[in-house]
Amino acid sequence: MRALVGEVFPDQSLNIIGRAEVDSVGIAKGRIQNFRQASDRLGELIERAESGAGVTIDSVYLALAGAHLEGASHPAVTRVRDPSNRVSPRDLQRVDREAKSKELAAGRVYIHFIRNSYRLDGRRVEDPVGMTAEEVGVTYWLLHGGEKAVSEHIHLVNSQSLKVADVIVSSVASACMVASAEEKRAGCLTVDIGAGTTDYALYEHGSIVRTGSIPVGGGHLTNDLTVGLRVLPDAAEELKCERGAAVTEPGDRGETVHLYGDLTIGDKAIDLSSLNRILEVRLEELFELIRDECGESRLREGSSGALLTGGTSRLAKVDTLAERVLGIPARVASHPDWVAEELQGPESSTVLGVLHYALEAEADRQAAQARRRGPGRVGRFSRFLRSS
Amino acid sequence: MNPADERGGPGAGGRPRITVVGLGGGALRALQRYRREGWAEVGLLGLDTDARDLEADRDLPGLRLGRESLRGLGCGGEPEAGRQAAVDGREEIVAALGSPDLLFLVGCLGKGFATGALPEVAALAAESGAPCVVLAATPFSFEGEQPRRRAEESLAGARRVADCLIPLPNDLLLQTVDGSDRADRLFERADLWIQRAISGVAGPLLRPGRMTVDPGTYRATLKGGESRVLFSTCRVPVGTDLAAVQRELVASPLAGAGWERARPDRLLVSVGSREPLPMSTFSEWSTGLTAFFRARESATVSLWNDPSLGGEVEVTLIARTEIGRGGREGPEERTRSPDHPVHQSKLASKRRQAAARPGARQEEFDDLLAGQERGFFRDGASEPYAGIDLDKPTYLRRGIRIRHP
Repeated sequence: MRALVGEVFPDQSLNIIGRAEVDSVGIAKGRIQNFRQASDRLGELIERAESGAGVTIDSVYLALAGAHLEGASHPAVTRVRDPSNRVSPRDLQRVDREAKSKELAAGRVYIHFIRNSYRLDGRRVEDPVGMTAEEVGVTYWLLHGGEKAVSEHIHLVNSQSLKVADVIVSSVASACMVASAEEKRAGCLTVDIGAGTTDYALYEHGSIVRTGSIPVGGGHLTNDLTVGLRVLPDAAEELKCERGAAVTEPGDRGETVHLYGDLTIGDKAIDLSSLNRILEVRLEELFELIRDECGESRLREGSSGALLTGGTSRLAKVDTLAERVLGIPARVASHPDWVAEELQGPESSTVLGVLHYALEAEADRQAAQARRRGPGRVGRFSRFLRSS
Repeated sequence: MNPADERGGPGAGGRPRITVVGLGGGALRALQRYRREGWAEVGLLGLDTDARDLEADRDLPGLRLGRESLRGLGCGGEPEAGRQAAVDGREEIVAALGSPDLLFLVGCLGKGFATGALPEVAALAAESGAPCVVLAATPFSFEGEQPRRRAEESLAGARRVADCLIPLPNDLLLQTVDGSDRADRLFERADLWIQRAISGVAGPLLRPGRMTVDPGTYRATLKGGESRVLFSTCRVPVGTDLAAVQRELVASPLAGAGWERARPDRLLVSVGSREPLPMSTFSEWSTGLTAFFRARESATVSLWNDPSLGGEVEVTLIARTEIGRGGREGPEERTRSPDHPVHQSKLASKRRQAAARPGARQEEFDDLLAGQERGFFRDGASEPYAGIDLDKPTYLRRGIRIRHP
């Protein structure tokens, strides 16, 4: 569990004033397994964040992950009502409303409506207002989650006397932090391999057209090593981080690494090719799942590359393997230069993305107030984030 | 005439009679190849309901089953039809098998005849009293859940009666061929491994050498009470060091899981080569292999020679572990006497009775064993994603063998 505390200034710039991190207990693969343990650990996290920042936190933006999150692409088309066929904001409101009006099954709840580009008579345009066409269309990526799972998380936050200002899906949060505006326009895939889940988002023409959350993460790699090499979880974690790689090389065969290296009781020789093969097949399967869900041809034709983030992307040669399976160039992503040194690690992408989202929400709220009052200015940092 | 005697080899000149029985189309094709490339002393017999498969090679002795019910057609992927054909042709099968000294049953499982008939034919083979080795190819995972389940059921039935069961997972074979190879190379590989398994077991009986074994040794090694038999074979170039041989044996597609932990009661090591091995190699290999696979009771080493091996050495291991014998010695058995008024434990007799009951199999701990495979996710409920239990390690689900140093 990670928390960042941000202070928003009147000019819409942001300062990160506190951060905290605790081991996640009672939550696995994005679902709460033990409410009491998870609540206690959240309390500890908030206490650390508050004492570090010197402020009292009263509301939070919450990132959600897990296999209960699903998405669907929903298109809508409407006729332009103006006699001269000029598209008006009302036409857009109507087509937006129609695209977002898909009925969900019982027990599901909408989390995000992500708009892809508009189409005028089938032609893609960014801002159709004022242009002429007979029909205007739009496609939304509708992200929804299990009502019970979402309410469990909100209830967990409420249990620490905190309000949930908004929820954001992890894949969307991390994607907006690691992909640049050019990469989003050219099309790219962001893959956030966390401890319990892997969240991905596919950008095309600057918009997210697909997201997903697969219940596999770094914890599964550790577990596979525990079962396959018959070692304790702590030792497996250390082997993974210190000696593991996502690709088996011919040179690994016959090479051994020692569990502790001190020949004490319990020390054991491990075949390096076995260690790496276990990791390779698991990550290969993970990338295959992502490739199949996005569509292999869609990835090859519509994406300039894959950006890997999350703690597990620190594993050696993970980008080589991703490139091999996905069939597009892959690299481990970095954060923008303005992010502080201690938050540059790939495991901070989601929490930074949540803060980004929170700032945008705050900017939107203030801009709406200013519109009611008259013309105003939106802060430089907010503008910067919008353009990235 | 007994089909196994038609080739003139089996049993001639006091040689042991070895018969390989192929069940179904896949096994018949393997036997057709064996007839051309294998040893003439081994008797062959094909069993099938499909007349076309049997007539594909008229020189291969065959027995058509289900003449009335299937009228020369295949089983249409229905194992039950195969089982019924084997039950109906019971007397014909017994007559065709004769009285061999060693019997191999070969079948490609997952579809029709072989899947249904294998347990029935294995039971008939067990009744003949000859040691029975079953070589069964299991279906690819892409063939779906039903063939896999049917193959497992058939294997479970054969395991109850056969002395040695050697599964040959097609998924593992898939990993032994290069991506650039033709698809039919895969099936050639399967045939090749079946040939190797036969020659590895039959070599010490049929080929001359310094240390050959007789059928009695096989009987003692393979046949016994409730036991588990592990098998592995490999071919390595002459001059390969011992460590590489051990690695190849553990990595062989025929090697069952658990070789690393096996501590067999009886171990048979069979080493075949073109010419007699140098004394230093024989000493190193026989000492090293028996020590590596740690036989508890006895280890038999056999050396035999066959010119067709060329520059390669064939090493085969057969290990039998009696179930119920743990690594530690139990306490001394207490008998009822005036000093020790205790009752005899009925556990052993109950186990024997339970094992003798048809279809008896202890299943209540299956969940526990399945849990071990899921590691520290064992406590959480299994929630399949896209139909896959992602908590279970990928290499286990995909049947990928992991080497151990």
